[in-house]
Amino acid sequence: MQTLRVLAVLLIVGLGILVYALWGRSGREAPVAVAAPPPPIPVSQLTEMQPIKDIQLEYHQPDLPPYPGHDQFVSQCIICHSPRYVFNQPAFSRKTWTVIVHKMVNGYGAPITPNQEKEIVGYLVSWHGTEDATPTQNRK
Amino acid sequence: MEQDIAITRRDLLKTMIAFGACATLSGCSKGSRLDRLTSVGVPNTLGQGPADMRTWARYPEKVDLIMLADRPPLLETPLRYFLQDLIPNDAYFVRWHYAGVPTYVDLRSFKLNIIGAVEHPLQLSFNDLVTKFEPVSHVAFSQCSGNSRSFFRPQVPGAQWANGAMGNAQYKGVRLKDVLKMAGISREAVEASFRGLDVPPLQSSPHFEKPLTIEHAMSDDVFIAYEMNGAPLPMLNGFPIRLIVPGWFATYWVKSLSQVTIRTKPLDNFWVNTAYRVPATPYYSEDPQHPDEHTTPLTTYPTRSLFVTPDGSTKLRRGENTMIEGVAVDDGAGIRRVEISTDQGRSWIDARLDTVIDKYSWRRWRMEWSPAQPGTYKLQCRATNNEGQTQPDKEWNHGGYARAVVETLEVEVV
Repeated sequence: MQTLRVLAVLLIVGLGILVYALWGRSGREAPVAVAAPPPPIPVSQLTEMQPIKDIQLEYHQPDLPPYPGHDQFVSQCIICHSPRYVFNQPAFSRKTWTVIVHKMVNGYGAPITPNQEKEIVGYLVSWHGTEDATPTQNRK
Repeated sequence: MEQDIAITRRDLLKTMIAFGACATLSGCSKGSRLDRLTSVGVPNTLGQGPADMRTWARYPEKVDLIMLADRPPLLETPLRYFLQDLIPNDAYFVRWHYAGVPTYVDLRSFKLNIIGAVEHPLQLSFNDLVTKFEPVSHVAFSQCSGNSRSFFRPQVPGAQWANGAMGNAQYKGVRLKDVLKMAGISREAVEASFRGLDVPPLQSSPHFEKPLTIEHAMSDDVFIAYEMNGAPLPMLNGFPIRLIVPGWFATYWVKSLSQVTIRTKPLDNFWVNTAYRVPATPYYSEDPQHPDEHTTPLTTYPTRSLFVTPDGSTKLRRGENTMIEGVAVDDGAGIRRVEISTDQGRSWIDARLDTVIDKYSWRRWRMEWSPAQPGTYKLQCRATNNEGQTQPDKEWNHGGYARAVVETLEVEVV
């Protein structure tokens, strides 16, 4: 009797698992309705059918560490480009950062005074740079 | 395509790593949505060093791409897309100079202006271009001048691209010379220069503008594309029209082209005189300690080959066949040969070249390889074009431009 009862329970549990497994599988295997992308509008009809292209660009600005020169960096550099231009560079030496910042003034017309340049270079060296190697270190 | 969409266990692992990494990286902006922005470990050094952390982002009309910068957007195509002849528009790399990227165009008011030393200045609408000229269609390869810059040693400033700032696509449009003929160019014309809808951030910043000689502009090669891979161009790749300069670096392929100026004197600006210049030496190479003072504008693609798979991120098994695949490019003379070395250049075997797609397309190549012994192998690939141009073993220039050195890919066989 005891054995029969155990068997019955096992049977019910087993059936349950079977049903669940089948249901689950069918659920998983059910074809997912994927809408095929609409064919592109021929360029000959674009002006008539879809004349406006309008996209929104998101900015993914990294957080800026609060080293000295932070405010100069924010007011003079970020107005033109993302700080990722710094973040995605190698950690350059003070000499290289100096050349880069000066290029922003000479090449790209950034209105930065020589004093501001120095502050910005200092900030870049603290955040993402190295002090210039001394001659002794160079020889090593 | 299926391969592009499938999420592999490795991708999943990378994403899991990313969630952990995000907490420690100041590069992850607060509150950014993870479906739009994730940092994942990507081997970008082709076996030359440890994997670094690069950020992925999804931009309008684009799939997830590697984001080097967000303002302006600099987006790199992952290597796996280079296992097909044409790169889909939504995976094509993106590079702009200024944050003033065009984001809105109304074709009812958009005009391409042809001005300067011409008999009849023109204002052409998108429809004018589509209907009034004979259409041409070509597959062409484009590559950022700084593609692969991150591999230069010593490292140089500039966008730190791995090998994904390039692509191959089919373009349809009109010959530039047909448009210029309609305007009637002056006999004194020496250059045509090109501007797009992008704007500089400051009054004092030089507007992005690049020139071609009038002979080049009037050649059969150069055209204005209004279609990319059978569809309108994505906004970030230059909607509605883009200059196509086959065989020349993408800096000349002015996006959202809005103005062509015919000049009787060469254009004199920052983008010609200072930027995009290379030493006038073989392979544009110079000594990092003594950079050359004499430089010349970068123009055509040097002959080059690149590994696409394997990429050094997974271990290979000895005795098992591995398909080594890659792409080769040149200035249009045509790739004649690609050789592969599995022993760091001691011996070379010819790879099988795919059929030529078009004169200025890339040419894909492949080779089956079954490494017999376990260990670390240094694979190299070397292309030669129909003019006998091949690749240097060493190369460096201060701008990090036109990288074409023989590539070494380290793979581990177990």
